[in-house]
Amino acid sequence: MTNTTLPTDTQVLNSLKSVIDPELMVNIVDLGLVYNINIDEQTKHILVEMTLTSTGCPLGDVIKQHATEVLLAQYSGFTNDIILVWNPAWNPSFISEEGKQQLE
Amino acid sequence: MNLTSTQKAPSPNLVTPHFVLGGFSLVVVAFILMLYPSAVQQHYFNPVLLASTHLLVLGFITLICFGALYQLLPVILDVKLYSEKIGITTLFTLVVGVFFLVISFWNLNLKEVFYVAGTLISIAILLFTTNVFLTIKQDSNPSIEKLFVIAATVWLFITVILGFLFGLNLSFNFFDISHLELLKLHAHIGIFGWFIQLIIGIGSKLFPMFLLSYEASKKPLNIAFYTLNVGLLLGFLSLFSTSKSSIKIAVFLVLIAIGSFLYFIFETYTKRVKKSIDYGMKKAVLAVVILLIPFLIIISLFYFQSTEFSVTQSFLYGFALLIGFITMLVMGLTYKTLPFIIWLKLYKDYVGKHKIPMPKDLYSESTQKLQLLLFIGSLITIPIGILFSFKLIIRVGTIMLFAATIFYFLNILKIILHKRYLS
Repeated sequence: MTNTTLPTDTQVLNSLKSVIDPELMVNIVDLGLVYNINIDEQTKHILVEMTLTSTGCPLGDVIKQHATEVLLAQYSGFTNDIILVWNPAWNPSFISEEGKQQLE
Repeated sequence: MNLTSTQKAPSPNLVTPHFVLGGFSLVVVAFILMLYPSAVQQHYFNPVLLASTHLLVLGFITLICFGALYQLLPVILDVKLYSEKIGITTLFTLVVGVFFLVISFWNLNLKEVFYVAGTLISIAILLFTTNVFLTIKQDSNPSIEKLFVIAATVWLFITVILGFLFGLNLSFNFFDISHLELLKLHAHIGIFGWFIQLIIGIGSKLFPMFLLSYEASKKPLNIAFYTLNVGLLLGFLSLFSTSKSSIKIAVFLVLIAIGSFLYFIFETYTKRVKKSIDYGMKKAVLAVVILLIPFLIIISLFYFQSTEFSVTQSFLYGFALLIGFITMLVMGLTYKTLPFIIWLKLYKDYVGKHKIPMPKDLYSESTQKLQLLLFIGSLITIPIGILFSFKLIIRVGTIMLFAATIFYFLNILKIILHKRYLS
């Protein structure tokens, strides 16, 4: 459902749970790939800083694009940027308990 | 301009023909073995085994390694492949060369057709080596994976040149070296210098990546790199020496390398976060376990050599290495590479906009499961048939092997012929 009101970080995070890593089949939030969310009320812009499990991952653009499309569809009137960051380098300890269960 | 990781991936037009032609070659190899099962009980220097072995190692394994490497080099090094045109030229030259090589071995006529084959294959490998080196040159960061790929490519080149010279020497006899020793060296440099070295290099990146396991120490990989390459170099130099001690040291060093790699994979597997693994990874892990067999055979073959069993032992050793380990691993990793490149081509512009299938939906899992069971069946029955000289068992094993390769090839075709489906 499209939301036109100012979303919270938690809402954005929940929306990003529909973005699945096509290899691991676990969502990017539970994988611990989403590092930071910044929502600007003035410019109606959502900035997501995220990483990938591996620097050369050929699926990187696809995962970014999926996240962009999900946020555009969920938050009408909001633009967004998904930025890949490599610091701190991702490691499996970032995976949530739910994520670990899905990998078992 | 900085390219993104997806933009660095090669075109499917370069990668997919390697898998199709490679898969087809494997079917032909299995078909030949099914038609001539008695060949596996004879000395390896016979037309059927020479033709089918070269079709297997060049037409299937090397071809798929090339295709996979074009796709994986950008993942490992985070750079774009230097030239796709060189890649296509390499493919064409290699395929024609292998075709002529198989014909010349089949007729056991190492004259004109063999010269053409040897020349074409040498050109193809030179082109491949150039392409890999110019790709690697773009990345200045040192890594053990990169060292393995560089060394593997160099040994591939040496293997091909050595094989070509060996064939020419049968006609012209320009150097006085035991042909059987040269053949052994050619085979071992190819298997350990090219295939296993490449597998260690690529595997050291892919196994942790697919299993989500990053706690294993990389020290065993460093040990494996130096012991493997010093061992191979020593083995190569022993060809020009009458002393047997250098070859013993060479074998010992290669054993340390294999042991180190096995330890790295064991640590990676036991410390993995991804507990449930798909059939592609199951095959890859099982292949590594099978590597223990030739590892133990090397010891028995070398230190307790018995002339009575040497032909059988030699075949079982080669079978465990080429079919049990390398072919199984290549089959498994096919499912971790090919579906992704096709999926990216068909769906990257539709992600998030439509409900789309995932890469694993591009092939049939039940076909893959059946293929694995038949393949394991052949891995058990063929060696048993050979050990007990039971022809019927060998025949059943080769039929299972053929059926397994058919299912593998059908899945490759299913992936490649997948039509975009949006809902």
